Amino acid sequence: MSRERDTPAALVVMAQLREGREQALLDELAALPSGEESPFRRVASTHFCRWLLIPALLGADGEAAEPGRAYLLLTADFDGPLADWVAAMTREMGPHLDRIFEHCDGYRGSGELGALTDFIAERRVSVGFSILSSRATVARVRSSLELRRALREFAIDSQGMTPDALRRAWSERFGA
Amino acid sequence: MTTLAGLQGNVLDGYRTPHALYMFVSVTEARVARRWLASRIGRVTTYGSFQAARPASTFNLAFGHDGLLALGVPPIRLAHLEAFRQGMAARADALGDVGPSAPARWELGAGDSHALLVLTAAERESLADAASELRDSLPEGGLTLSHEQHAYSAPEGREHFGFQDGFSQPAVPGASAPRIGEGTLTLWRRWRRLALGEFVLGHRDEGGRVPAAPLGPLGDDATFMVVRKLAQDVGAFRSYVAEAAERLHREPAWVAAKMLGRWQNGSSLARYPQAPGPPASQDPNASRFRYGEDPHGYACPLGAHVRRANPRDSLGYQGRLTQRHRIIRRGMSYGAPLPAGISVDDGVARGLMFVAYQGAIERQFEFIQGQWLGDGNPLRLGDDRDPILAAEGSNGQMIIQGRPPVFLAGIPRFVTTCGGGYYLLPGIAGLRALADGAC
Repeated sequence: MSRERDTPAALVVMAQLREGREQALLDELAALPSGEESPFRRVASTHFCRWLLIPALLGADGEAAEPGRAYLLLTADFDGPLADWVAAMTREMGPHLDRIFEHCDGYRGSGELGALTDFIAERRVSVGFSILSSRATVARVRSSLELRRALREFAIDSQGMTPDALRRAWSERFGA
Repeated sequence: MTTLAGLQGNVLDGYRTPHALYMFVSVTEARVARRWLASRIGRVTTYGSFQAARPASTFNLAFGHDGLLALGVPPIRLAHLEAFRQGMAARADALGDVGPSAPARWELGAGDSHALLVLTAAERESLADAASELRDSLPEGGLTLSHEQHAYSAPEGREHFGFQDGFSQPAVPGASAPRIGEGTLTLWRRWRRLALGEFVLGHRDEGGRVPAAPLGPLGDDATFMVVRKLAQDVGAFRSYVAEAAERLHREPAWVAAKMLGRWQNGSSLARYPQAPGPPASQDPNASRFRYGEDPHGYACPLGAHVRRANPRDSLGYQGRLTQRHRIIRRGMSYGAPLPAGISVDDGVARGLMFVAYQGAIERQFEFIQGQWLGDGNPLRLGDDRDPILAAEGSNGQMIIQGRPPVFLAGIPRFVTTCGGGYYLLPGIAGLRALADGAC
């Protein structure tokens, strides 16, 4: 596996909304299943992903820079490269992507893979901050969480054991 | 211009009166209610009037979003205040108010009400007289009483779980004699007072900006008030602590202190990790500590309740990550104490009327409740949640760091939310404008 494939990456996309689509987009986002049912769960290489409607971009004077124009912000952290992640997103949640991005200017649908990649690339902005604090992949994070859960469970169960009993319990639970 | 003259009392300086009554009311006739309000403004206890002369009883009033609308405030003046506009019940999921704490199960009338009237007094009789007079005025004042709750400060300020409470309040300009350690740290590790705008609208906050406030006079000398009626299962707490202490071969007082982060007399584990120090109420240095000196939680566990609620400099950066998330607490107990030595529920309703003041509900109360108490990740504690307050969805576990560490498991629910709401405590100018229909 290449280094790029293992390396988590961050993405920020700002897509301008078509006029008057704010409420329809909000309704679509609100209808997205969350938690275990979230369509992002099906894209195994996703660390975090968030949609946000920005009603207006404000200038330094606090006034709307482009009155009446809203933006859809997509931020994501995933195990790279971008093209693979976009392909996985299209495969696992293409209809969701279409219903969300169709409210944006210039979206041509997820049916044509290159078109979605281009759409994202053209609207990508530089990442100022990412919540990723390590280079661990999603798979590594999940296995670490499972290890932590198992260790804590063991620690709770083994409190007060004598050293010999503790050693035996450790071997039984985790092997020698 | 905003001054503190019109700020209502009990915000910057606590009344410290032992008896209180909270009256949740609804507006039934706006015009009549405004007239009633006009007749009551002169009786409102302010920051200035309480300092000048302590009255036999105090009177304060706050309004929920819908109450302000019912009194004729245009929605546009409040529309930008999202949490206040939505109310506490609508934010239940983020606050952990689900399951037995869900708004659908709250006591009748104890949710986000139109208004909250608060009386306090040093003597029980004074409170009863003031309450009777106020109660009698409501029907002809276009108001309906939906819920009432008496509360009190127990001797030594101990809440039902047995801990002295109510100190370590944020040091802020205008508050009298804060103790060292109650403000925020400077880059030189000296303590200073927090910016007034963290708690009073119209003033600059720690970010150097004036916090979002209602437009117009309602934003002058005002503050946001969060109220929660929290039932405490004292029997469950005592049983759990006793069982854990026996299993761990420790004293129950040690287990309870590690869960709370304080000994029962209020002395901090950060200062006195082995045994209680002087009672916090009598110790001028009770708040003089930094968790940054205990980075691994060996003195005060990283997940202890008071350390979660105010991590001080635990998160590094000389406490700058925590100084925007402070609240002024004015809670009082309700219900008769469970007699000493009893560890089973006796069916008596008891708990805490939690009251907090702040400049921004989302950034202060909701952040503390949702992120620091209701989650473990911000404090690098994984799935662990606050062992006292955050039962719903919790793994029921807590690590007491040490050599060796001790693990608590199976922590049950000790606290259930029975009601609550988000209110605006307007200043006198705001109350006058409200009474005049001029907001």
